[in-house]
Amino acid sequence: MLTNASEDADGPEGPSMDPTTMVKKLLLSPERIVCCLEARLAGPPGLGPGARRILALVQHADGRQRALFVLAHSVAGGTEVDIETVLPVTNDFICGIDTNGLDESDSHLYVRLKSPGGEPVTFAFPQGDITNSFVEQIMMSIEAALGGDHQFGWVQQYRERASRASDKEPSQPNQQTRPHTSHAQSSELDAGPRRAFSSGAPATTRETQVKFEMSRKEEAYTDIHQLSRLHRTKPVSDWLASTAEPPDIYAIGFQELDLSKEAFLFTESPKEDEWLTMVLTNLHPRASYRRVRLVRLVGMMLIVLVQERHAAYVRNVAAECVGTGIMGKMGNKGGVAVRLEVHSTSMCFVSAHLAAHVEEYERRNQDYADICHRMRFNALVSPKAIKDHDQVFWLGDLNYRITDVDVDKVKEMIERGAMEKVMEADQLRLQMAARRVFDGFHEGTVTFRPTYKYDPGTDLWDSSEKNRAPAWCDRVLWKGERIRQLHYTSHPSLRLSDHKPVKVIDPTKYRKIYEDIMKELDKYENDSLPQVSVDTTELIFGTVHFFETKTQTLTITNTGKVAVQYRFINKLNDTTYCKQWLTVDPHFSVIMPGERCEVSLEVRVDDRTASKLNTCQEKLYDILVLHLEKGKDIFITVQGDYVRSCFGVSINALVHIKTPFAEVPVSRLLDLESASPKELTHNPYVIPKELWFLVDQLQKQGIGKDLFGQSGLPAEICRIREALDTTLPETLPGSIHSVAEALLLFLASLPEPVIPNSYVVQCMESSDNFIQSKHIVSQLPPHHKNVFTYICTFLREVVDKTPPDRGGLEPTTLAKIFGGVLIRNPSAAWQQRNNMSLETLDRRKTTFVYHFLVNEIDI
Amino acid sequence: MAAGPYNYSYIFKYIIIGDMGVGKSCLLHQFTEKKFMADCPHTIGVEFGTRIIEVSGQKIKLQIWDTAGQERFRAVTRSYYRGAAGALMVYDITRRSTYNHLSSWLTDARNLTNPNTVTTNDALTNPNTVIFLIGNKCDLEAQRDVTFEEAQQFADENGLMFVEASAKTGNNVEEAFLETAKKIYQNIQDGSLDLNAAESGVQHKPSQQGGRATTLTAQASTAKENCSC
Ligand SMILES: Nc1nc2c(ncn2[C@@H]2O[C@H](COP(=O)(O)OP(=O)(O)OP(=O)(O)O)[C@@H](O)[C@H]2O)c(=O)[nH]1
Ligand SMILES: [Mg+2]
Repeated sequence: MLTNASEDADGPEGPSMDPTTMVKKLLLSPERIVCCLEARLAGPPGLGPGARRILALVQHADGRQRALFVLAHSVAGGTEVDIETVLPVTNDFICGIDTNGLDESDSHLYVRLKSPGGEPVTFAFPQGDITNSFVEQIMMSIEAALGGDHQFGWVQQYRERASRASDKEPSQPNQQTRPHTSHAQSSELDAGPRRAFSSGAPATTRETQVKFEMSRKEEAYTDIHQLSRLHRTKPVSDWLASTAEPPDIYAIGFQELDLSKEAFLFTESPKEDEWLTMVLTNLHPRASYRRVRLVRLVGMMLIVLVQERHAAYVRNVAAECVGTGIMGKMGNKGGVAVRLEVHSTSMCFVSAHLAAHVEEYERRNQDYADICHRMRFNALVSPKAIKDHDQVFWLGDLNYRITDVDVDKVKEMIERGAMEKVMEADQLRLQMAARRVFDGFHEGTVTFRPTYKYDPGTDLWDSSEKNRAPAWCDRVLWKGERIRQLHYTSHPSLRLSDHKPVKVIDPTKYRKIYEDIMKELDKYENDSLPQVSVDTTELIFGTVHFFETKTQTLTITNTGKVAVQYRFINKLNDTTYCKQWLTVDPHFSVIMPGERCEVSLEVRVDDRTASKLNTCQEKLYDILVLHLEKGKDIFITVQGDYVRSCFGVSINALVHIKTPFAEVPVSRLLDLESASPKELTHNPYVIPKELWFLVDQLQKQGIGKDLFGQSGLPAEICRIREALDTTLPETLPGSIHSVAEALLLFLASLPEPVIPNSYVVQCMESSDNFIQSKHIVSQLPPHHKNVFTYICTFLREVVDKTPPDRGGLEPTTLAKIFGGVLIRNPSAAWQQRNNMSLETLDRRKTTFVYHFLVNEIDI
Repeated sequence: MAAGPYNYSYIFKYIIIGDMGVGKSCLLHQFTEKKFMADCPHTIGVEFGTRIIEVSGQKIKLQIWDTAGQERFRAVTRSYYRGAAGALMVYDITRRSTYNHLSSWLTDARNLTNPNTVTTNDALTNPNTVIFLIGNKCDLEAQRDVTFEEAQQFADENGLMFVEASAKTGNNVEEAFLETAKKIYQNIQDGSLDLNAAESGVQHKPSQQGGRATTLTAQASTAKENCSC
């Protein structure tokens, strides 16, 4: 038990009585005083502390809940006190050191307290250990508290007494009490302290504040680095250690590192270690660091390190990747992220590389949305999305450019140092202002020169014939509380790439004590049973088209007294909790009493699921089992009507369909898809007409335009699908990149791939040999052979007309993209028997297709 | 919360099955709360109820799983049969269709409660699960659609225990739950129910605090006092 022993000499009221004794008299038996001390209300600016109050941290009989009691002397200088207000200490209670209106002569420590929904109130505490432990106790109580104050029933009776007390004759104002602290105002039950308490601007000495903060080790400096297109490891001197104080956390993001063909095609990259070593040898020399996590996806890498002394407080580390390139999986664009908790603050670092090209800002927005949507840290007890973190940092080659200003004008303004002026034409700023991307994020003022584009290894602007406008491609943005940016600079001395690294240092505060919420939940486990209500048990999605995304929300409200962990569980004999065309997010989580969780259910039929739905082998119907840990189960029914589409129909059926697909009756489709169709046309098409429409458009309009180098837009792909299903289109809607992706989707959706599954083992075994590969192709069923040679002929044309040195994709890259859709993996059993990893299979599929892109096809 | 303060020797898992609307949730509620719910919503999922009873001086905790009766959930509710020591199979004496479906419910109860046991239609090959047939809503004599005699005959032919009951008046409700427990207990005593078998649906002497039935194989394990449908 703590009491304030120090004598407050400037008080004219005479000696204080032990406050603990006074408070004790007012408490009902089960409540216990944790600590108690005397303090003063913060007075108006410059006038020092005001009236005396007693603060007591009181613990409820349950041993867990705590509340802060503010008491005032009934009569100035007397030994009687009245409860003035009671503030439940919930997990969103705020306790902070107030540094406003610093006054060097004032020796008090000013602490600002605020309960949710109430007015903040500031108290002046005498300096010393007693105050420090008192504040510490409050901090700990906040950490240990569960959310919401609805469980603080026991506080109510004290609050009632408080309001009665305030109706009484106001106490004699003493000399120092300002009129605005009079008892005459009634305490509001919920608001807690009187409004007047907060009106004074409190003061403290800077020294006190710094000492206090340091003793609590509240500050964490996070050092964030962003590097692009570094091609070589070269010792770089001090770019990671340019501040006097060593940072607590480093987050270092790389993009486009090691773009060797191997790295792009296959996930293993031996260079990873070299980069790591380069980082490790350049860290701040005045501290030692531990690696939290390294995550890499092709050319994107993120390294997070913490100082050794914090390592024990780092928890729940997880890393994930999201590829956003073409077909969403190439990994040449996208994001990698690391999340962690330091004490009680959760942080998420995302290192991203968004779509390139000046005019593609919408695709960059889409990439951002995609990364946010798909990045899920599923390894955690309750899976988290990026947005679920207290602090989120994005760093990366976001690729937004300067548009609508003449290149030379831009360069001229930069030379004058008018960076913010140029920034007005920055796509990212404009898109953020329109709230189309990075909503709610902040970025520091840009004072450094654009990071793009330099002649590699120089400080000279891009001098190639493209004469690209300089741009700030490399950026750092953040979102969250208590983040202050110290520096935002670029390192012009780093000349390894055509970008310049950007660096940000953020100090972020975190609280010292971390209590594992799960531990608290365990304690509660036996107190009562979980209860929830759901807003619906039937989600009806209506018509659903191929590749169209429809989302509905299920709201689960915890109506019970304990935290509920819910989880969607597998039904008997099922290996997943829902069908493949459905995504449930989050599919398990913890909900606190009185809180609710919005679960999004997203239906999307894609290449994996289309064919079975087309032939009615499956329906858009599923029953999910929503299971409450230690409680009941609720069945959630999901249904929709799938509109059949040419995507997911076999080659052999499509060549017999000459009308738009939507006009084909189900019975006819079922017949065509059956093992021995009864009604075949006499002169089937050589290849499916839909395939021809897609490729023809690409041939006419796409050659030379970075074909297959970028992903399409889902909305456009839907329109292309609609045109193919319902018409015999002259031209297809949407950009050439969307048509390209539609083509890949079309091939990926085929129930029987272009290289039928029965040929796959041969392909895998003879992929190194062109003669044998050709032989296999010559043996394919006629229409499959036609499709294969047709696609390869087209790809050869793409390669011939746009070689890599003129901006086209490497033939290996094209081969990898198409290998993945033309050939599927052999059975898992076969893979196991032959001990073949997915990477090896990928490589073989790529090699198989590669032959046909670089050799004459004469089958 | 029943688990803490009481001392009990066994936990028995029960399931209640039968067509929708026959009164399964009402029977459970009547048994645990001694109250009738006039407008009880359909069960969309699986609810739990518990009550501690006494058989031959032994305290037994019944953990009762009340399943959804709607046909469309049939495939899903099958997941919950596993490891039940007792099954209460309910029909509505005022609706013949609910009686006609009994044989299909019976097949599920026999096959799914002890999935590892080889089963035939001969009840004797699978004596582990005690199945109790309840003809509910016997307070509605005027609307009777199924006679007592034919149901009794069906029960005899299939080796089931049987009563007519009313969740509304409480008539025979207590009896059905207790008789089932007695029969299970008897099976334990004479050794025909092997407690060590993973699927027995019975747990012996749980630990004091929040003892969890490790022999219960389905997901939910502790239970709550009242039926909250
Ligand atoms: N008169 C009368 N009505 C009853 C009796 N038992 C249940 N009911 C009524 O029958 C209706 C259905 O009862 P429930 O207990 O919800 O039926 P259920 O078998 O749980 O139905 P599902 O949850 O859909 O499987 C309710 O309106 C009850 O009030 C009874 O013994 N007598
Ligand atoms: Mg029910």
